[in-house]
Amino acid sequence: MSSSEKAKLKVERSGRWARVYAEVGGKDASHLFYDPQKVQLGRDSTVTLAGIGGVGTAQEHRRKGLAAEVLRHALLEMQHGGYNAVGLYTSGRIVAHRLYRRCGFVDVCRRQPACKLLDPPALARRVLTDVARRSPELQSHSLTLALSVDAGRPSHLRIDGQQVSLLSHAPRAVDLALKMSGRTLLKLWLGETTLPDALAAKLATWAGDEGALQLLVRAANAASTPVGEG
Amino acid sequence: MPRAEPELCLRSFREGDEEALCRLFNTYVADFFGPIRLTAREWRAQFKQQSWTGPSLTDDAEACRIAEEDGKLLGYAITDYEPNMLDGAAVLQELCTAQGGNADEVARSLVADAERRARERGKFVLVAQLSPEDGRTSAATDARGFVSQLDDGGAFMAAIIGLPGLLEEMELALSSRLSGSVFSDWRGRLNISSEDQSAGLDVKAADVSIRPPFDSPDISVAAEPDALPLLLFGRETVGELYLQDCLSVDASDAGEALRLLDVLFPRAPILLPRAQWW
Repeated sequence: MSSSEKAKLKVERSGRWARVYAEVGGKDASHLFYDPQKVQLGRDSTVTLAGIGGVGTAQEHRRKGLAAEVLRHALLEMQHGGYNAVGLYTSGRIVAHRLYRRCGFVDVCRRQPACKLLDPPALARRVLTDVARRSPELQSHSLTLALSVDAGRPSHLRIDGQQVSLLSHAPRAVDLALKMSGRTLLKLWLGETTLPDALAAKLATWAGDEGALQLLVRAANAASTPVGEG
Repeated sequence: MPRAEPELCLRSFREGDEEALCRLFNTYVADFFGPIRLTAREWRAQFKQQSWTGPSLTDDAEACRIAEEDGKLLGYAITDYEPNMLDGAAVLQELCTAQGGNADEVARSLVADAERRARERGKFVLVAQLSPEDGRTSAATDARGFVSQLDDGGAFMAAIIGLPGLLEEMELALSSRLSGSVFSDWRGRLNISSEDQSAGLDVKAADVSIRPPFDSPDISVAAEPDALPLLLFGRETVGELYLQDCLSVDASDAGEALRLLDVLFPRAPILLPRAQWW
């Protein structure tokens, strides 16, 4: 018998909120919350819908259909509770988006955030630190990089094992010089691309020691995780 | 002696500000999106403590920065400096200005202030997550050098689970939309259906009543399930949905029926609330 079959669907209410959850072995294995929220329907009409949030499934219970069971149960609860519409926010990339679509949800409005890079060298340091910390191979090496973002003056960074530091002065020699746009740097930070993909797509260019490049590429590959596992 | 020009003054939120800020929000929003009319309590509820995301106004008064001139409220900006999902970023979530002569300058000053504070807090990036359709806010972020960088800013998704009830909630608005249109004298019966949901609209000269579906309607509209929320939320024009074959119309005069539907369900901008845990 699968975990999904053994799940008991339950509802708990507290004030405006309701929690719908699947209990497996006496524990909350998957849940969502909802409460009433005002939303516009055109310029002249405001209605109250059930706003879903806090959707989550315990790691060990994922990919068993529990979230879909909870959502479908919640939709019935909402109907009985007098709601006529349901809304939620989601990332377009995560697997939950497909689940919501299967359950009848439609993208009503996509957010289009705009960004301003406040500190490109510090962001580059953050990106490289993530790579260094998750790459066993890089931890036994040191590399000196020159990174130019949006054709600005290069920042110099040094990777020593897991530590990545910003150098205050240009070193005598760098192993690798990288150039990319601020947009590409942001995508690296957000996990929307990887350094190997950015290089392959010519969104980033390099000069210097090919061995150093290959080391960084292998490290970035090792550090990358699939998008949408949240 | 010439009188000094009043200076724009920026300060952080103080308890008791919410009434005035909420009034400004309602006025600002009404100018473009339509009357949302939050109460001060609802405005406040979009902050953490009552919401799952967003800044905590109690813990961080700088999350709401207020622009004043001679004590007169000119605008405010809300920035989450510790967003749950984006370590290293601050998120500008709301930007409202009193519409008038220097609204653009006030908006730019509030954005610049948010950038400064984000830098001071060691943030690498300031993300402006404002309503994409509002040109007033995008003018301010454009002027400050923001660019659309993210492929995926997320989406507001909706499902209709009670079509008749939802149309009942919209009854007054539907009547009002007709009353100011060329269809103000139109009388007839209209069915709307989508998969297993259906409702009837009894229209008598700009007086719309929601009924069970009629046996012999004058107009029968069938929307694909994907199209129904887009139609009701005003996210696609009736014509576009019709052309995309997401909407079919059965009427003696399909052209007139489409024009009537366009009046009942016009395309409209949508304000995405700042608190988006739900």
